[in-house]
Amino acid sequence: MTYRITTHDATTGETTSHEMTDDERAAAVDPEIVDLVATITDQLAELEQ
Amino acid sequence: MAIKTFTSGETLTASDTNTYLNNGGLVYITKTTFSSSVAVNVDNCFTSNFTNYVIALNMTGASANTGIYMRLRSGGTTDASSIYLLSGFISYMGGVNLTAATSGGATTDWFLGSHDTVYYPNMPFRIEVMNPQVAYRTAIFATGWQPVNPMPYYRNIGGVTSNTSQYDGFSIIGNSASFTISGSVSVYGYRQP
Repeated sequence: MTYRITTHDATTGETTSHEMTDDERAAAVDPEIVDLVATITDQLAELEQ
Repeated sequence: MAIKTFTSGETLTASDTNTYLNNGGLVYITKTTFSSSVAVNVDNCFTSNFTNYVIALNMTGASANTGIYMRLRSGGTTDASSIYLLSGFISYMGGVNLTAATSGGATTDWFLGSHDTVYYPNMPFRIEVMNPQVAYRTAIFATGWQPVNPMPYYRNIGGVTSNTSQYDGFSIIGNSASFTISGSVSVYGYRQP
């Protein structure tokens, strides 16, 4: 799936759209969700032991 | 500006026209549409021309049920640091149910409400933004929705930044980089004498 960001410049009236880079996608993810996923991963690992 | 009442047959002069045009209420600044986007950014809409603004966000779709969030931007960069505080309430339209809404401290965005793809989809949002371009705390007063089965909650919040940075734009985003949203966003300024 393609993930795009749309940006509009009010000065020029120009609207552009570009596909997100991996860095942008990583930055867009809420840190709380990252922490939650890490916690769940840790708990699953403990259960498997 | 004094209120003038025109009478039947009276000539509308250029002076009167200019006076009323220059002292109108909201002034259109910009509008853009976006489709299947993780984020829609609007840059250079907050300028020294105005101190206060109103944003109309008209949703037309989303890839899945998602929260709708707002962040501020400066120089083409989104501020995703923990500077956004909010509180307010949500009220259910299906009965007496009033619940507090709070960010619980500074977070990385303002939660405006949510978009549901089944129950009351495409609900619009209105966001008033005050002081974004001056070196005071930026405040928002936002009204939106949290649709559920079978009808929506009305959401009314006040938000403020914990810093006094100056911003020239904003970003509207979904739950994460895996959700896309579609719609249009319009920005108006409160005209100043």
